[in-house]
Amino acid sequence: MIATVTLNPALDRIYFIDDFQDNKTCHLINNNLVSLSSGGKGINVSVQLSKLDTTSVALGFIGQETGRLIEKELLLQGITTNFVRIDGRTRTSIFVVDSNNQTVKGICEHGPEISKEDRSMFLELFEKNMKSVDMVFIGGKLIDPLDSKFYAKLIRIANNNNVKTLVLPNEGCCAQVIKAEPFMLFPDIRENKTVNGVLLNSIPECIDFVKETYSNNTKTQYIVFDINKKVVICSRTTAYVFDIEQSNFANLIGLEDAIMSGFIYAIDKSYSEKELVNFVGALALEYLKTNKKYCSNLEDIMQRKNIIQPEVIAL
Amino acid sequence: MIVKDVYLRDVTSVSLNSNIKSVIKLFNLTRYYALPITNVDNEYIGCIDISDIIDSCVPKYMKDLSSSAFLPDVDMFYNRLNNVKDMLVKDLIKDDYPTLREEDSVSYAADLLEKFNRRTLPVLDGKKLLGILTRLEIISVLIKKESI
Repeated sequence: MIATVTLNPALDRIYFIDDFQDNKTCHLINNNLVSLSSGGKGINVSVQLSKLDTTSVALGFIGQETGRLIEKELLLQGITTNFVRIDGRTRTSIFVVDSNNQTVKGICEHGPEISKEDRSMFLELFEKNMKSVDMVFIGGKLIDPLDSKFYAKLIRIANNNNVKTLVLPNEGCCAQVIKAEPFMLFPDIRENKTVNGVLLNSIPECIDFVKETYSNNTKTQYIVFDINKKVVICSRTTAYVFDIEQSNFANLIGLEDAIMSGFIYAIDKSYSEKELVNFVGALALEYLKTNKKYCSNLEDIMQRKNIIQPEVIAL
Repeated sequence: MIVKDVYLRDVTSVSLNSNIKSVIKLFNLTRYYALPITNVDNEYIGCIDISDIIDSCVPKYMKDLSSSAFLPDVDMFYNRLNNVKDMLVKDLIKDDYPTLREEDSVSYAADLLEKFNRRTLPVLDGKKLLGILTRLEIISVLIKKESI
């Protein structure tokens, strides 16, 4: 069984407008031009896994009507939910996708605050769930007043229960997360290109960082980067590099969520390292090809998995 | 139709040491009428039903009356609720609460809900909690099926 954690979920409202102009009110001509869906890294991974016929339990905090809508959508898709209900309102994110101008504009709310009681309740719930799962994904935006130490605490609880942890921390959280030794780490370096103050601007720099991390860290088995239109998957012995072409639209829906889902799926199926890497690469490429929020064509992914050939670099 | 087709995969649960005040809050937030109880190993150990909490607040003599409509106010109930709210789930747990399995038929589930006068039943796989089934879910699914 797999668990996903979304501390700060969001209800994503996406408008598809062909020519979105300043100082002009846009009237949508039909309801198909707006989509409402559950968002947040963990939730995205849970939904992507369900598209690959893999069950998971979604954990996190939800509150008020937006929270209820998110939970309802997940339940309708057959995803098991186990949220802590809070008094605050789960945030809403709004995006405008303009295909003519190839732009995405968005507003993401900050999210509610978590009380001490809710925090304790979540830790109790998380610890309970770690007794019955094999793998947990933790990722996405933090929620006040929880900080990067909270991520680290969750990783340590999971590690103590022999649960594999796959972590997609947002910027600023990496130092604590690396110390907690997750099974797999995917640092977000898209904006600042730094992890723990180390500049990672090229694949050799990423590889040096990986070597340094592995030399101090006993549990982490995979570190992944999305850098300069390439996905780099580093195991303990080898770095695998895939070329990717990513558009602005793909940025909106999150290539990293697809990559994390690929890892979880492959580990769940006990794939060998080579199979795992190929599956993750195949899912990432199929995902970008579909240009939808989720990738559901498992047959195509499997076909691509068998022919894909990443560049291989020995560490 | 079987339970697997209709139940909610919501595994929200409470612990034996949760207090009744927090459980009432959770009833309010989830809008369920019963909540499963799990132990530290995440195993199902029983259920707490809102009717059992209400029952524990009603004085015994009132239960013997055919109607309570003539009582002047709800002070007695309120006083008892004040005591009950600090009690723990373990004081009110029903470990013989009826349960369902995924492969049970929906008609069996409906019968169980009716026979035990419950609105929510937990769905289990051994000791593992899989979700819950409510009367409303059954009716909603049947209505959807009819409209297809």
